[in-house]
Amino acid sequence: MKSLPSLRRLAAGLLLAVTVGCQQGQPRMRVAFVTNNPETFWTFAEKGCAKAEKEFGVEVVFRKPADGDAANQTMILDDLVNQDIKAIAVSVINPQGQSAHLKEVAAKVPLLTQDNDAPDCGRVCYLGTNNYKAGRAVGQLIKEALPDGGVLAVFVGQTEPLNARQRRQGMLDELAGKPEPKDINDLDYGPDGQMYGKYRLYRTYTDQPIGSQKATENASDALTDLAGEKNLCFVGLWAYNPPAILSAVRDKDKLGQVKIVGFDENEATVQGILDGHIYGTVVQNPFAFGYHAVRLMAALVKGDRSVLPNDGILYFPHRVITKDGGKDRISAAVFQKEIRELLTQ
Amino acid sequence: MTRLLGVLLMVLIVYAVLMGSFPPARSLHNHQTLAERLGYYGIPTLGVGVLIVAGGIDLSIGSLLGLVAVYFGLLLSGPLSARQTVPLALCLGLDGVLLGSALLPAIGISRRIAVLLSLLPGAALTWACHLYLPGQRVPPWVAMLMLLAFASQIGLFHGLLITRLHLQPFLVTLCGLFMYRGLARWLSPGALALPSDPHTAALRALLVSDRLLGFPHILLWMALVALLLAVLLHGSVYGRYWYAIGNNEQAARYAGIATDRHKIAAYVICSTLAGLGGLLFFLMYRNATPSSAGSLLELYAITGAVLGGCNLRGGEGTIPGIVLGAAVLPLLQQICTYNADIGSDLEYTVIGGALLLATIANEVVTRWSKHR
Amino acid sequence: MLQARGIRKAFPGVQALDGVSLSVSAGEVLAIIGENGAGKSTLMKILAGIHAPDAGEMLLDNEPVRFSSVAEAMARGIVLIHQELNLADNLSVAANLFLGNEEIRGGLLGWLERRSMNDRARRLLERVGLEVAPHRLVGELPPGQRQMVEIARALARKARILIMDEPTSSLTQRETERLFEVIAELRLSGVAVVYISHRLMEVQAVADRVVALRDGRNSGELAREEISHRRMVELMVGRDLKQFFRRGHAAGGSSVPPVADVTGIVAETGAASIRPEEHPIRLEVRDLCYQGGPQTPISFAVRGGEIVGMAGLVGAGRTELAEALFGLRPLVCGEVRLDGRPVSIRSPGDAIAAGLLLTPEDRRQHGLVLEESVQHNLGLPNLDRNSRLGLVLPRRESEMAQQLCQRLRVRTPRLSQPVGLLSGGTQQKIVLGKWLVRQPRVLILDEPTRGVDVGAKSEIYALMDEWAAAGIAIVMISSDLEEVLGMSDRVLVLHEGRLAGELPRAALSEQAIMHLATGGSEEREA
Repeated sequence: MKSLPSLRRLAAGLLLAVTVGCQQGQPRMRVAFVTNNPETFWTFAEKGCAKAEKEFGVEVVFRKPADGDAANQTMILDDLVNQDIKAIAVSVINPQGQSAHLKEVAAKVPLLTQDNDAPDCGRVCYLGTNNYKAGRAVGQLIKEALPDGGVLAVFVGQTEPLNARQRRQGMLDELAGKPEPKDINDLDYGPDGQMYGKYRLYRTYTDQPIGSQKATENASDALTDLAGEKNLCFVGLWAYNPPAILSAVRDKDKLGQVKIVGFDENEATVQGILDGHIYGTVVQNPFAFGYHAVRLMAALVKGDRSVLPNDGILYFPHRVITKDGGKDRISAAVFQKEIRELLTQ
Repeated sequence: MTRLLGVLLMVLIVYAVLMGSFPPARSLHNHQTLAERLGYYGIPTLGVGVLIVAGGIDLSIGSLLGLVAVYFGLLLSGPLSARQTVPLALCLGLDGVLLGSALLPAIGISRRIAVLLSLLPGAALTWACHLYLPGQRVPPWVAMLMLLAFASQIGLFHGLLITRLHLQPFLVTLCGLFMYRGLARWLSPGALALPSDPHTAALRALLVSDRLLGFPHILLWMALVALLLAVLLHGSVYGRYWYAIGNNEQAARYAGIATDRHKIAAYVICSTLAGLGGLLFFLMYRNATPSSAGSLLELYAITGAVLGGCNLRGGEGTIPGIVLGAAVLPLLQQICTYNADIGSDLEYTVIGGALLLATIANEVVTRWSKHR
Repeated sequence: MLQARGIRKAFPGVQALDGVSLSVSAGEVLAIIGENGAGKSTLMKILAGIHAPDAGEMLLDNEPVRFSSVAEAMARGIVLIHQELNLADNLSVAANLFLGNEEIRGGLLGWLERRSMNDRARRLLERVGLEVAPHRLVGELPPGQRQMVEIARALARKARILIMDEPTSSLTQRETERLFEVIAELRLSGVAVVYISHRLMEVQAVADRVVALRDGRNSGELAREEISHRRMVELMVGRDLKQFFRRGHAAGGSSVPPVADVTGIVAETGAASIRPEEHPIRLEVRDLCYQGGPQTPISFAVRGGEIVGMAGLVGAGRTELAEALFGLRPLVCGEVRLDGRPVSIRSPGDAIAAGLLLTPEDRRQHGLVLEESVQHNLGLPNLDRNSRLGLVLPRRESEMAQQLCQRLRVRTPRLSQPVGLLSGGTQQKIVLGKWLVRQPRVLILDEPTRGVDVGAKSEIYALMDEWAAAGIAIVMISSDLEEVLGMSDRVLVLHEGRLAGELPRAALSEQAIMHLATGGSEEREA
């Protein structure tokens, strides 16, 4: 038992280190921003949070569930509630499955959803993109890229999250020429292998929990499968999918033979558009998610509910990026400058 | 004994750091949260711990847990489609065959004939499952029993491959890791949610969330499992055989022990507890994402068991140690969530680093006490 | 050349060495003898740099040295060859010879100079008289040749002082003689050899001087001309061992108790007449073939109360036959009868249930769980007796272990001591002892005294004698001819898996056994 003193010293040291590390931000109110996975998409949201943190005098705890699993997110939310966090904004991974738990959270602290909604969980507000509409914009880009119809392959991390379903269905509805449904939170799931207007949806590839490496392999496999097709369009619905597609296409030496339409503002995607390899992308405004989520939470913890929108939904319009821009479009060059400035702030 | 002391010390240190630096963590409610997690992590960790003592390893725990969770979700939320019943029906049918060929020789029927005879009821069971299950809502307890049988069947499958075909445990269970994950995704394209009917709520309360004298039920169930395993490992003949097999399988064989049978039993226990973990996972978190439910859990469980004193070469480890080892991870995770400087990106590094440090300290203390 | 003075070393609970001194000069063969636990192994490990002494000094070429690692000792020319050989089975002979000292070209590229190493290897192998191609895998060689590879490796490391711990324990007679020739050559070239053995005949044959240890102290020294079997035994045990082999010396008595009387632990009978031909046949093997065995089936029978020696060269298939009988190898044809009834043995469990028991040759690999305690090792095959409803009854088990330890005179500080920490002789007693509560009908003892010191050997022989007297049929597989001659009522000699011949006690001689073991025919011998 002679080891005890030294171990005790070790413990005391650890304790001290951690305590000192924490105490710096103690007097400010703490709010939390929880994402649905650790992808780089969230860097912009983090920038937004950081900006709002300074402006509105709260401390933001920014947490990214490591493997994109709902159970992991549930644990993080529980921990945050126990930690005396005053408000939480979360991108829900599995809305249906998590609703019951989110209701418990919402009963304790004001709960916002962002990026990915869970409409029935007692949240005070949803901030994000109308993913269904953004999906229709993707459909529009496909129509432009392949005006005579063709074969589509869709790449996305998982098909379960609402945002993935909304984007995919919006895209398919646009291609099939269907009207917008009443409730975009309760969508059908258009099956693979069918015709949507002039377009045949070959398959929907998923890559979680591995992520972008698997996404590249998926794209590469799809290229092999569809080697004989002429009018081919690959659609990447999550931020890392378009660069993954681009990389696979480049490896197989098929640049220009496959149209690529993307989603989100990955640096490589934007560069791909500039180079003419990617037709276009539809971007959200994650910076605004972060900034406004913190703005709303800061007001809520001070008891100010007037900031909330009436219908509880705050959409930030999507934008469409193509090489040359145009009406309602932004040119890739302009957009690239904008995001670079944002990241160097 | 030193190992047990080491892991106890480690748990105390991590606990002290958590409580010392984050006053809100001291609340009763947070302790109950931690207890729930210990219960959830503890069950698969105990399973793999016993298996490691017997000289085996199982990398498929996380995937199997996810698969069972998904199956449980499917069974609870509605009738299965004919396609979805296939794996379950096949496994249960095989269960029938094996049970038959194990029991029939006891009443004096020769082994070969017993196998042939039991093929019939096995096939019948498969067929019955296949006919009965689609379009049928199964009561939750029947679903649970079926899935535990399913999981144990998977363990048997691992055990047979490893003992009869002499395949490497690492390889067999690694293949399992891929197979069960894929199967889970094939079974359900979307994430599953716990239905909100009162029966399910009552089941959840009974197995997970209700409190007895302030202790969450899931922790008590884990304690019950730990107690049973402690009796088995430390008090029974089987435990003695597992230690002997883990230390020196050849010597155990020369001592007349049916080593294969006992090894298979350890694999069955491990997989069954992973299956139980899957049921509890679905009830506790109320959802199951086929692509990610339980991912990485096998590594957490193995690390927990090793921290708790299990030697990966086999033959070492105790149940109290394994339980304590399972407690380290939830505590560390909470520290990472709370500490502003660690953040999500460094979480894995901190957890890995802390576990490594603990392992080193443990090893040093053990060696030092041996040399004295 | 090397001197050690007042070496002391303590391990938890034991003062292993308590002021031991010895010296060895160039070209001398020094034998170190002593009972189990006398401190021989510890002393050797200190000389070879494995352990550091607590006190005392070591002089090499008259200057004080202190080794903190094996590598340091090796660099100074001191090489220890362990009793359990330390060769990599999966590597070639040449690779083993130069393991860690490879000839390398191209700096960090590590390009191996295979050809030159193979040449050097061939010369080294020649020196030890081994006709083996350097590219052969060590795992394919029989134990005797592996021993020679170990010695060649020591020579490759330019050993000046070669320490050999029980070098002949797995060697055949012929290989042993070859080893002695090699030792003689080494001596001529000025290498000092420190030779540890329990086989006093060998010591007598090879040693220039003998140092005896007892209880961690020097108990005496014999110069070349003083060396005799009796003197050595006296120095080792501190008393005169009147009878070494107890077989045939047990006096008087008329009736042999039947096995049924041997309840629990074999009773001390001490006296019984040896008239095995009067006993019924216990074990009968008819036309047996087994997997991995020879084409020709084997048949033999052993009566109760009989000790049948099984001799043969290493690799003659004796161990394999024992394993087949014990259910470790599947039988292909033939049958095994116990007391006249055919038994079906498919696993060791079946064999144990039938009362046919085996103590394996390799006790560390097969006989013991080294990490576990004395009690657990003794209890492992007997848990069916010491448990109720699947739960172990620790008290009953410890009582059983206690009795066995007393009965077998197992020297252990406590029952919870891991057996890996005990000496070879004590370990062997535990291997034997765990079967004693099973009312054995047939005991197959595979090399029962390998690596066991004289005192424990004599005790084991006495036990064998008692068991035979209690009506147990004993098959003793042994490469130690002294032992085969001393203990057997009858000897079966195996050659390449086949039964080469059978020798009754009256016809027993070293020459007769070796003749059959090396492939000579029975007729010519007769």
